[in-house]
Amino acid sequence: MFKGLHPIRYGKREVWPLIEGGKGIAASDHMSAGAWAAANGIGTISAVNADSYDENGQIIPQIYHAKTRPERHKELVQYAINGAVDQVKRAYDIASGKGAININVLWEMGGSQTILKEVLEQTKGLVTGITCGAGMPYKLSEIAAHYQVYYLPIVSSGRAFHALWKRAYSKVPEFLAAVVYEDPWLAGGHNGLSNAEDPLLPQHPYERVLNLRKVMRAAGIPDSTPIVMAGGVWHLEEWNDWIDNPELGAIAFQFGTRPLVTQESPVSLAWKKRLMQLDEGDVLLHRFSPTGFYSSAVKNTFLRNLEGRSERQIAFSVKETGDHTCLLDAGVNSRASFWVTDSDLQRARQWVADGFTTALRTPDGTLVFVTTEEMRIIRKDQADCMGCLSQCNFSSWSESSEKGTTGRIADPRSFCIQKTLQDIAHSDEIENNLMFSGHSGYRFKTDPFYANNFIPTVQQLIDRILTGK
Amino acid sequence: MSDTAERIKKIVVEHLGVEPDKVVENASFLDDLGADSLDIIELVMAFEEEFGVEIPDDAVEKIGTVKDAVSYIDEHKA
Repeated sequence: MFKGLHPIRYGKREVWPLIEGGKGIAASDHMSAGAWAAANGIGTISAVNADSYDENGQIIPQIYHAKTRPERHKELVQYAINGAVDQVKRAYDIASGKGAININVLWEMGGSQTILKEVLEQTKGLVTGITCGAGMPYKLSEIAAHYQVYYLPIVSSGRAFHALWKRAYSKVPEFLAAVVYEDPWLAGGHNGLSNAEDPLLPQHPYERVLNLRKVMRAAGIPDSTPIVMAGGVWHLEEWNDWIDNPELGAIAFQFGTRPLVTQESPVSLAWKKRLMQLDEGDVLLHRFSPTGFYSSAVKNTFLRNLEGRSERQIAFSVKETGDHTCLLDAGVNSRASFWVTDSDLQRARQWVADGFTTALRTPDGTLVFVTTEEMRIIRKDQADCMGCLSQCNFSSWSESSEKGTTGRIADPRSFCIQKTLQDIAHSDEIENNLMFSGHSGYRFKTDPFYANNFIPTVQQLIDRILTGK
Repeated sequence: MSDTAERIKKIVVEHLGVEPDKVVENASFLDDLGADSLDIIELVMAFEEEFGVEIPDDAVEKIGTVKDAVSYIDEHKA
């Protein structure tokens, strides 16, 4: 039998300890977050290049006019500020004084600090807190304190929180509202696997959350400060042992994937239906993201193509050495010298015969084989880069470098994340775009709540969650 | 190798578990020594403790190699 949840005090209100996971681009917006708050939960707007609207209420397409990357980056930052401000104001109206509105940012998105500060400046009194992960957001606490909002760092280990606390957060303990533990093996979107964890060896969240609580206790943070369990949360009756458990302290729950299939969810009906058809194993933890982080998404045509591209990969030397004794004569022009193994030479010739006629260099001393059309798209996307990340493996953009580049070869094994996430957010094209999802997405298919393709409202979903189902 | 470099090398070897001969001047923490963003922060805090030097956030972003770390410490230690 489900224990049930108790409301918690957050901001100036009593709310359910249920948080909508922030999902960019435009997959958690004013409609979903406003509805989540109106149902006395904590709604989360993704402030990652959110949509803004014209005077007729139409979404303004984010089109870039400038000729250089640094100038386009400035356009992107302005789009992001306008969008997040619009979203917060609309969500606040929908919430009608109930629940709370948080905003979520990807720390390693381009211009993250500028965007965060400007959005908070323009939405004073409307935002209750900031959730933030994907990187080490140690300046988060300082920004939150300046704007008098709470901060809820997203971490995937006690170790990460320890470093953040010691380095920065201990100076601003009063604005720390909660710590989000995002299971790096089960959550959707970008995952916080560090080099210390094996992506193929998932660890049980209980021990890791308990470790996080011990780190928090050692830092003097009271047990009343919740740890928000995120990733792999579906039916709360499965988490009975976590609720009112003095060993763990206060626990709240974050839902990322379930809110995607609601009436208020801004994603397309095609996306919702696809989620409801997933089978176990259809969500892939992979490392193709240009951020360099692991991430989890539906294994659709888009991801299969990236897998295929990375499989059509061979190592080379620029001089004959070791077992690199064969001069590559397939997929490259005759002026370049790439020495490869005999077996790789045969594989390359076969790929070219199969239509993957162009070899592209990677930053790791390898070549990948692509079609002429793929090469055209890769080169165009790299040229069109607008600096949406602090550093991008795909385009070699670097926000912190004076030259605007990482100095590394742009990596054709990755992709333009801004382009694909904007496209899937604003179209029905769900096969040829990156489609983030948590690893429990397959449960839509077997959960009787969704029988006969039922798509609930957010209020219905929260009511259901509160029953333990 | 200077005293600062030796002490930094010792910290890096212990923290990242890499072979000492890989911790050369131009080794990049991220690209050559396999560090991630969490490792970088922990290394910076270990350097601060070892040398009694504060390394502000802006400076952290510019420390990419062993040489960068040694230079920063040498310039700022008492």
